[in-house]
Amino acid sequence: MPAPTDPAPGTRQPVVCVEGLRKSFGDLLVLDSVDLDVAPHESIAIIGPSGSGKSTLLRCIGGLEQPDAGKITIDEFGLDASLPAREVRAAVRSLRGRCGMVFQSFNLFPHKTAIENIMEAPRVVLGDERDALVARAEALLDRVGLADKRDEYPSRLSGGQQQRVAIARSLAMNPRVMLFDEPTSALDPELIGEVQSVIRDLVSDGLTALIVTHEMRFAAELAREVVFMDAGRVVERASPETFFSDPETDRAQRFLRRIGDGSSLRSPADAPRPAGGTPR
Amino acid sequence: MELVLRHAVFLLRGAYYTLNITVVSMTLGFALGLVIAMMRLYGPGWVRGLARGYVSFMRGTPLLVKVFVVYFGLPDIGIRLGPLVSAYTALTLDAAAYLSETFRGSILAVPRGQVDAALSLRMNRRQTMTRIVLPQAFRVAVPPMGNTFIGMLKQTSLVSVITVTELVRSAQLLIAQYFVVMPFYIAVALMYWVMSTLFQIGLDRVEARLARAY
Repeated sequence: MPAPTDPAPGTRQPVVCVEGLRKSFGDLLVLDSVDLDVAPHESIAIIGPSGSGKSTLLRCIGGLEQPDAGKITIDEFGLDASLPAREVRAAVRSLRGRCGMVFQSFNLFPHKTAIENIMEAPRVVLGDERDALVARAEALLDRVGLADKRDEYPSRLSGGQQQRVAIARSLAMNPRVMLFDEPTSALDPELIGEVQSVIRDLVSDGLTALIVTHEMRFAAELAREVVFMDAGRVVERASPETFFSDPETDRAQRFLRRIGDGSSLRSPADAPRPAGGTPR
Repeated sequence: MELVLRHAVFLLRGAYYTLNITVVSMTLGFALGLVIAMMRLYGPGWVRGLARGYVSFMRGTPLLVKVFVVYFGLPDIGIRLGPLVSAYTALTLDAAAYLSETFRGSILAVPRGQVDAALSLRMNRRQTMTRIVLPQAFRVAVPPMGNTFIGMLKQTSLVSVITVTELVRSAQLLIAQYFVVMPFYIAVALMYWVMSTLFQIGLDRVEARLARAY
């Protein structure tokens, strides 16, 4: 299974480019002019207090929310919220195929088996041929370590296994970028490791990924860059080393203090974890 | 008793019409109910209002009145329907109202995340509805649908008043001929019971099959 992102070595043309993105729900301004570039094979962790707009940003990029203003470009394909409503809606729809979304609550289709979950969209959307598809789906299941759960229904899988199937399901559509929205927040502590290690493997194989997470240690190990959001804005963007040891802005410093001893990265207070809880 | 047996074929023909009317009206009511549920959930404002008004009116009026309106009233405006078609029409309109509420509730019971997941996989609205939402909603809808179904089986007796020779009217014709009441009505009651039981068994099968994944 090739990495879902083209190598295109040398070019640092961003895969995802977000400019001036704004989104409100009613009176509540959730995203207030967000700018963000994601280079090919780059993995970015998005962190910040709850309500800071992280998930909404992901849902806009993934085409599940329609922004009020701003632009989202994935490769040469663009959404510009200032165009007529009809065109914007069409653009929102076509963002969907380019991003794979992984949700906090997995959202596997409960009436379909693991492999059917993976094959569903390629079959009905892309019209892929069944035999080729079965082989590809099996390879994907193998990649997330669940080849033996091929014919199980989601209700028979643990949360961690469900999330791994959900990751495989997104990969089956060959997205240009994977969007993880708190992929481990709904998991029992002992199941977090298996999901994180799948994501880590994908990232080290060159997957382009945006990961919203509350697991500071995971963010630090995984991401090439950390984006800190607060009150609907990107407040700071830095390498994990810089961000966690020497955050530039006040707000980031306060955030890290509040969630625990951020500079040491050893004990994020919001996510107590058994020591060494993320086996590779 | 031997009177009942002697006329078993006649009574069974009546039972056939009861079943026929139930199945046809239920099938049409299922389709119409689904359309009304969709209108009420996803239509623009005036479509929702229309659907809500329909459900309110159909649930708020007795079936017998609807049967009369269709059979005796519509000819006044030039629409003449035979007894059987009138029966189908009145029962379909009635069942659709109840079923649409069942469907609406079951569709709303499917978590929002299922739609998010399907859309993010580039499935369009129609694919999301038919392949992801409705199969899950249907499972939730089966038990209340069973209520409507079995209720309808018995409600069909009302169309005896517009000369459809279903089970009850078959019995009435025999009673008028022999002036014997009890055996015929007892036989009819038992035949309804057997038919409802068969439906119940069928519905239980469907439910068990849909529950396999859970």
